[in-house]
Amino acid sequence: MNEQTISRRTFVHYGAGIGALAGTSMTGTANAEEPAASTEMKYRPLGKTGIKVSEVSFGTYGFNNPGLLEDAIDKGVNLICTCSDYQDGVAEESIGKVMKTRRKDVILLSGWSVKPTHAKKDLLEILDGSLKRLNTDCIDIIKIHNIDDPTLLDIDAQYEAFDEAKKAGKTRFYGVSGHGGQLEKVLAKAIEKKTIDVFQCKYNFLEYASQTELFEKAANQGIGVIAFKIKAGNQQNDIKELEQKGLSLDQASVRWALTNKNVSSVCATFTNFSHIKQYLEAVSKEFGRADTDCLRLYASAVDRSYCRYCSTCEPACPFGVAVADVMRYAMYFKYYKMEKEAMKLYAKLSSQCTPDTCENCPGHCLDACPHRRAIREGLLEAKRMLV
Amino acid sequence: MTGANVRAESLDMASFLPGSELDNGWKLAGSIERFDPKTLYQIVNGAASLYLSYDFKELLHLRYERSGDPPGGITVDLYDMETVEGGFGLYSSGRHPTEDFEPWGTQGYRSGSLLIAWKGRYYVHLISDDDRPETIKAVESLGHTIASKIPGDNEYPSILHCLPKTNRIPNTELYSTKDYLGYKFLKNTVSARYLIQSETATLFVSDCSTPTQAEEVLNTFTTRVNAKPQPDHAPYYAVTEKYLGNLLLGREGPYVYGAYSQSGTITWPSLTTVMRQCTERLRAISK
Repeated sequence: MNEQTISRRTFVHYGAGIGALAGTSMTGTANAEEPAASTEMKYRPLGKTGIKVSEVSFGTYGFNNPGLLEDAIDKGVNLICTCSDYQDGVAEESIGKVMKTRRKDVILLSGWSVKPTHAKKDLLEILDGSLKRLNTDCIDIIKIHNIDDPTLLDIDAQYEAFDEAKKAGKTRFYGVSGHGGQLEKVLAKAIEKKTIDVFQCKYNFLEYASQTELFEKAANQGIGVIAFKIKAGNQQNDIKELEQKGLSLDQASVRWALTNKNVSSVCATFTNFSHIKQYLEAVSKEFGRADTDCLRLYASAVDRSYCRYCSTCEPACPFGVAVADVMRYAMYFKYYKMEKEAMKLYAKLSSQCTPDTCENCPGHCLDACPHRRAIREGLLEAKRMLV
Repeated sequence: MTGANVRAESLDMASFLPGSELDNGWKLAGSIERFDPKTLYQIVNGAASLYLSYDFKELLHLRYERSGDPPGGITVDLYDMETVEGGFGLYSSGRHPTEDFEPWGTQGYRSGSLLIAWKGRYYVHLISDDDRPETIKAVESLGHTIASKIPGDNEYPSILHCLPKTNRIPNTELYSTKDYLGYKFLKNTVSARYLIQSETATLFVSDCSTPTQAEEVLNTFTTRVNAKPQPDHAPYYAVTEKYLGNLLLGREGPYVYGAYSQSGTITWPSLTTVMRQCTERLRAISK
């Protein structure tokens, strides 16, 4: 089936991201069997920083294996992403062991969690702690870490601390990292403030739509983009058909993210040497039919299986049903066996908010759900359980 | 001593909480959110894969807040890791041996505005929005209260019995379910650091379940790193490995074990001392 003949409903159903590749071509033939042209790492410019970064970068939450990092560097990975918060500094220390001899071969990205009560000196102290653990006198990119509230970008202490650190030669560029519910607002604000050189954010084939436009705006401003959380829930171990067909979600999702030329690098988790080989293979081939098949199979398995409690559908309901709350209470009942608590919570909802009207409703919510969740059926099931 | 990780009885972690109101005006803000292995990614970053590797079962996520100028907030995350091994594995992955440890649960510590505690299958993570003294006091009080409500004994995973105690540096024990040193064949592995005459070595022991499987793992490992039996280091396999430096490997019953130094500079006699202590230990627990 040619991608162009798939109806819009099907595109949306499976996640428009799979078909609407941002700017590059997609081969029409299955290419899983084709050997890689080469298995050398590739590089892309990181916005206007002047830095070229490996298309796959080394994510370090839980990291404690210097040998693995050295091997990844030997194979061409040159961007290491970490944070002072990761295991309270243990990850940075492990990286620091490698930096004794390999600092010149890598770009370091680390971060601080900025709180409203932080003064400039507090953040500079955090930075100095990171420098010491990383065994370096300069962290190339410092980011505000795990930001889910755009107002955190208004805290001046971070810019004052960054400017002072930059003058002292302790850092070079400033970034924003986030994956939470207000991600689009965070990115939009960062673009508006014009104080950011790098974004590091969630980006996957099921939840991508608004980010593509944001990445274009960022690119116009010279902001470099590093994507993470590319595997849309990482549930491939639950989908046996993927393994049976020899499909790799790790590789397909990396290739998909890299079809967006505004993405400079994909930050991935490496826990064993096979991952290094796997990601090298991922960047050595263009996104192709086998990758599409993989992502479609994954999307059809998981996309309808859970509610994200995002409330996007609620304005479409003519009766004011509190969809997210009802779904959550149903989840407590069904999966956590908290029957009494779930029923109590449900009983506290006002009558308007309960799915009493869903039986005879055609289900306006379905069209409004960006994830094609079978909402009406879910609400009716919830009512049967919770009343 | 081998065996599968034992799944202890599950409890509702909300019962570990002190209630919706604490001393000094702290109150539960909003509702308690729950996450399971399929939804963990919604709240946790790429870190989710670490938790999932340790048999993560459930997360309770909540906040206590206090009004004031400025207001205060403490975020509480309670993790059910399903087994003692999972709870300890997660806890040990972020534990630094130089922390000031407290008897919160089996063990815990505070670092700035972060408080961590562990007991059995449960892992407690608190972080405050600021580090003012009154807030830190509230964090410690809350952490201690939660940890004290976790039932059960202060047990450590049984696999830790494989590690000899002599020369072991306290609080350096780590447990990995998979991919130890980046090798897929090294699963269910415990490690710790040892101080031998001013040199530091890391010793690891992988429980391969049976002697036959251990022999296969050892063969794979020695082939992979080109380690060979050498008279000077008998009965162990030895190699100077590209990333690990001097490395010794051996097998005893269902266990594959080895010693190296991450600095890459440890001498062979010090490594051999650690290995021999481990051999004795493994033989003793196998009797």
